[in-house]
Amino acid sequence: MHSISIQEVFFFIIMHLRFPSLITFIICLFAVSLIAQDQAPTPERYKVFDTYDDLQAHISKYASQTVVINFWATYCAPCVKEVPFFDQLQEKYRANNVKVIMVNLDFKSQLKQRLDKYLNDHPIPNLEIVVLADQDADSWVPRVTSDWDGSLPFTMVLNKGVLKDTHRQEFSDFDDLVKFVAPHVPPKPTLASKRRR
Amino acid sequence: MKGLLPLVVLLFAALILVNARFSPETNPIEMRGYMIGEQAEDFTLKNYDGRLVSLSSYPNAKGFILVFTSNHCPYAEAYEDRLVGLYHQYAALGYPLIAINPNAPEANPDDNAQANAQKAKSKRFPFPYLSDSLQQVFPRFGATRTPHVFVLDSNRIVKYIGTIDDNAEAPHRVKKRYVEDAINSMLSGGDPFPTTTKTVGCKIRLIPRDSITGRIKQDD
Repeated sequence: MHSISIQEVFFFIIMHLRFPSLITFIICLFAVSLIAQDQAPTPERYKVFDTYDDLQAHISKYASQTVVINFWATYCAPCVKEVPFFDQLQEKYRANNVKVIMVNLDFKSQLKQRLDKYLNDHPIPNLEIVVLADQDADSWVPRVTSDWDGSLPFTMVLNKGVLKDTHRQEFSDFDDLVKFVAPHVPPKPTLASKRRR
Repeated sequence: MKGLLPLVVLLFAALILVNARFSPETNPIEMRGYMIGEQAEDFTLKNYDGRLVSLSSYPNAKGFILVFTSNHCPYAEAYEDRLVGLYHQYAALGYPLIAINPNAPEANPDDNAQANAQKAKSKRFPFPYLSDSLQQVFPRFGATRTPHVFVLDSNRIVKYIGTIDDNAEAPHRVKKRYVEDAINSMLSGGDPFPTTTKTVGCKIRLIPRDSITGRIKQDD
């Protein structure tokens, strides 16, 4: 946006005197576009799963690759601190066919005030976010893995559907996260391997 | 031989440093808490109104509902009214509820004494709301989250550990009332089942410490 000069203001006033309806129309269009921009914070930014089964079905779509899953919530301070590391991680390993899934555990009834607001303030463009709204934690937490008690954050890495490693606290920095994931990252497909296919 | 002395001293110094770094004190959350069937030690903590409260302040109690909870965790907030309900339901039957805020005010001012008093007054807590700001009590119980419930019997034997019910967000959709079930079976002379449940909640905020010197850090 550039600032409006005096000449432009004059031009505008003169135009308004000569073609009032046209200018009003343009102003209306402009206003509508502003409102539209304001009200549509990416409609399909995240999926909401009501049961752990639904989440599992979704994750199993990536069963042929390395998947990093992080359980987090916007109210969890250490979680929020490490979310950008995961965004960076997805970017770093995109070519290695690594999928990062952020499983958000905010209350479904509070998604607007919490998750939407968070995503507005902290764009994490590389990350897939899903919301798990299954409230019966005692039944689904043990199904994730037996060594997790449900406290956030929690991260795990799967390779071809097999659990490889878990991390039960926050990562101190991006390198800490890379160190955790790197052993399970497949090499980038080289030109030669592509040709073989 | 004389030449070796400084080397030995250095080695010892290094060992002490390494030990300090990995001493369990720096991370109370990793301490093992009470198991089901173990006897909990009594404690004395300050209530939001300044009064000191211990388990022994309740000589006639048949047991206790200890709830580690906090002021601004959405899960804790979702359960506030249900805690009041539990108190009204079970205090008269001999099971008083005692709420304890285990979070370090240094980590988040929302958990300081003033905030506790504000919470207790605005929600009209009929039960004590104690502060474990020095974090001496919750590690013994092995509490990790808020809310985290421990049901004890009259001998302070831990009978149930876990969550309150199976739906934090929507009280009207609760199907399993773990704490109520636990106390009801204790009231009829039995043992709770299940004895433990898992829950999602907010991690207890620790006093920020420099891992080597043990100094309290100001940031975080």
